[in-house]
Amino acid sequence: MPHLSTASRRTVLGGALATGLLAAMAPGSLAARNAQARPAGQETMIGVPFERHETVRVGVIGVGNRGNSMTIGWSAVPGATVVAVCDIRKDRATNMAANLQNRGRPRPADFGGTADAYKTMLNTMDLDLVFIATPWEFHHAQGKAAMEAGAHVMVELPVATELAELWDLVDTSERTRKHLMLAENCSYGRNELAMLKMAHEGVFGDVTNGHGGYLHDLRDLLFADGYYTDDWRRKWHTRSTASFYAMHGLAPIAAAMDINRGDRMKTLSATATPPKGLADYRARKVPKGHRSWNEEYINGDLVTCMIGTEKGRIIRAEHDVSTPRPYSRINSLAGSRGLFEDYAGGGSTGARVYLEPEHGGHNWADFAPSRGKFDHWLWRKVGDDAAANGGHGGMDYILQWRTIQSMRTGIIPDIDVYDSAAWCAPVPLSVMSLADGGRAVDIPDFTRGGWVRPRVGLDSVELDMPPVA
Amino acid sequence: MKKMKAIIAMLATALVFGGAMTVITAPAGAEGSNSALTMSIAAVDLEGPAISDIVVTLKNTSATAMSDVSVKVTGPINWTLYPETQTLPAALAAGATATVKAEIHVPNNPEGSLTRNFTATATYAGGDGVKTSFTERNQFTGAVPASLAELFDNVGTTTVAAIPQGNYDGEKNSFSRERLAEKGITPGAKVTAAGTEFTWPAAAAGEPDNVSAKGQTFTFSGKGSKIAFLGSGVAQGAVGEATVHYTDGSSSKGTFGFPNWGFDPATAHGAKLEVTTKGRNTPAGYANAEYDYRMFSNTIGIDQAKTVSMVTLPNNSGIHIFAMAFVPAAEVPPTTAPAATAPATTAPATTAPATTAPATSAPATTAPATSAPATVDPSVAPSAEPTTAEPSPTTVPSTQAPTIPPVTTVPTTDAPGTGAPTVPATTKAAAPGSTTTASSSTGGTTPASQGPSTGAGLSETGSSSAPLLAVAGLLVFGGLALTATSEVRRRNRASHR
Repeated sequence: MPHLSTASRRTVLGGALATGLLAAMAPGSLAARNAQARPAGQETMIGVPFERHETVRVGVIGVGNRGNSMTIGWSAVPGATVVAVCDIRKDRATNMAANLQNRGRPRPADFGGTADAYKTMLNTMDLDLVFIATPWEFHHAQGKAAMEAGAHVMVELPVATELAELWDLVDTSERTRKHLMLAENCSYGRNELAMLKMAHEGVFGDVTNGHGGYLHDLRDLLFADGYYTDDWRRKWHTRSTASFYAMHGLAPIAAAMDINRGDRMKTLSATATPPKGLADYRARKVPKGHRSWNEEYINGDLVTCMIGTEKGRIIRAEHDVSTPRPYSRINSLAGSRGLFEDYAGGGSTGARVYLEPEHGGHNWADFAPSRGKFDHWLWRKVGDDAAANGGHGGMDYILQWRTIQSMRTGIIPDIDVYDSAAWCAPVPLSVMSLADGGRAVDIPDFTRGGWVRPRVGLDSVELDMPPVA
Repeated sequence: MKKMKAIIAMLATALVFGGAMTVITAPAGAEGSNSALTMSIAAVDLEGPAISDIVVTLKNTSATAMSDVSVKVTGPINWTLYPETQTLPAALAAGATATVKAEIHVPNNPEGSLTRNFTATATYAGGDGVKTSFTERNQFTGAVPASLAELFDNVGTTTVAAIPQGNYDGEKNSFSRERLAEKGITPGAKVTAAGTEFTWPAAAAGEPDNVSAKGQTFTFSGKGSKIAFLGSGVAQGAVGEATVHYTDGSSSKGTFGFPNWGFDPATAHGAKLEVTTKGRNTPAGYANAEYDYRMFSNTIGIDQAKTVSMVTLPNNSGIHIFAMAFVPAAEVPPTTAPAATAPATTAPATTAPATTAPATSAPATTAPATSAPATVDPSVAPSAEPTTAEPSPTTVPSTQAPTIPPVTTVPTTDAPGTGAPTVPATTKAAAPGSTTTASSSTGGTTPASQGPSTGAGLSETGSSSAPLLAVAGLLVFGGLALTATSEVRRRNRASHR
């Protein structure tokens, strides 16, 4: 196995932003990179199925807030076994191993204690799937290493924060023939999947615009001691202004518009409001002398990206974790014959529709009947298990169940490296656009031309999970 | 029993067409097209979700080559398709054929009968000089409902006791069954109008008795010169295009509409006023007795040489249909110009009359037309994929614009021989406060005014001397009526959908 280089967290944190700024100031080099032909020895990963696995051996890097619940979820999926866990804090990994054993699962090997401990895990364990739930700045390096170690990879949001890193992950996936998938659980939301099926059926007519985002008041957690290890997430707000985490709202809209499956995101222009929210919260609620008083927050409270597609559609993606508001991913889609709006209150689904010819008179209709008609088979088949085994209303488990099913049956993943890169591209591109006064910047075509052809994605053929021997 | 028969018919249709997915193909090409570039679209695999091919075969039947042949393909709305347009790499020689293929994302078909429409439009230079050609293909998924009644999704008429179930207009108002009964409109009654005989829905009070048109397709078998619709409108703009499917796989289209039940000129969208009732049922009970609530008829022309198998209703939920019937093919003497309603692309009007009814030109008020019964005949199933290569186009292509040609829309005017032109309803609409109108409620002019009876004739005209009366009526009532109608319309629109 190749010896992997060492990188301290400080170096990575400092380097990531610098790299992004340099890229932003060199549009010519970016354009050149975007136009670069596929390197020799690489082929597209579009349409490439997983090889069949009787049992999927899962390794987890990062068992903190997110990794903890997801590891338990992986272990509950039929045909998946968590065989290794790793955390920079060794005690977390050891505790997780014991936790799984107490639940009646095979005890996984545990690694940790250093920033490079994950490399030891990758070098010594035979893993089919690696799940990465570490701070954002480590995702690129760990994702790349896992693919080079011979495993398919699922990475928490975002898979990378720099354009060069996104391209690198695409190239690595194509070179190693291993899939890299964004752990976009919201793509498997019940409302989101029904909206997707309705869009494909033509219920909204010709879809022309969609709106999504991540609007989640995280102020309490951002300032809570110990919740985010070493305050990693709050510190991102001191480094740059960017749409860090809009993928949860962007991805379902992109899927409904067949992005990378007949259309593609082409341009992005960003706006940002002043950074008031975190400072105002600190002034009112954080004692003087707290280490956060040494920080200056520069990330705009609300960063909005307007994305234009090749077919002329628009997607609005918002990001706001700094101001008080009820949670919302917006999740709205509209076309020539109607629209869908989530987080609209009322009804059992929380969503509403207005569809021709059924509806009229400027009266919204409850989404429940439409969702019943277009309910995705995953929720009909796995919904009950999801509620019992997964967080976020069951979306987490649906994501995990479907991923393991895809690997065990040997089919094409619902989410591929091109989807992952495209959905995460607004992170660095919003920086670039904001640095240029909000002007539109080009969004790379990570598929290198493969986006033009239609292909099935999340609106999948119903399939059973193979029985476990 | 009736429901069982319908279920059996639906199952039979499904079995004929291979189970859950009913696929009825339309012959390729544009019937009646004058382009020498003939085209056909092969059957599209609709088992989704999947990526399927749309294969278009072109043939140059002219004596000279066609160059710059470009083909644009479309599928159902928002189905991702690639490539949308393709150009042949070389000229298409005389007599030569070529194929273009596109990929389309077929979704997971939801339940219910759905019509999937595919089109191909070609432009070219040379050849016959026509420059454009068009073809389309209709396929269907899901079991096709066996009758209009199976589509009923709205409670449009209520007795006082059933008022809570009524919701004709989306605001829980409905026609009064008691008032309709006074005009002979009762469950299961035969209703003569539009040159044919309808069967009024037999639905019990409080049960759905009409369909709100949303593009549904259903089995409707028979022959005639037209298809007649009996119904009314909600809101404004209750007009749309219906598609008629024939047993030979071809299809034709026709646009029709209904005025709003409470306002709009009674001849709006080419409709004909058939029933005027006073008042309506509201959540507060029977009310608005000073206003008229109306039923209309309208028709679309069909190819009387062919047998109809199905109809796809317009995609406009403001159109509410209570009944449909075939209008018998009228016998036109050889020296008489073809009926204006005969589709221009098909056999001339001197074709044989409808097989189920004698062709008669008697006014609807004097002799109920023995129209083709709207029964379901599952044996009248379209044939399998045509084996001949000769296309049978469904529309008339434009000879000028390189765009999809206008569909054949048959005018909905009265066919010759059915009586005098109707006096415009605006001359008969109630003047403010007037309780007597020229509608059937005054008595004398129509059988319906004499009380409930079977075979109620609903024409407002009455006699063969109607043309003179009509003109006189226009002159006498025109100005007043227009003013009155405007007044009524302004008053009613505020409180009506």
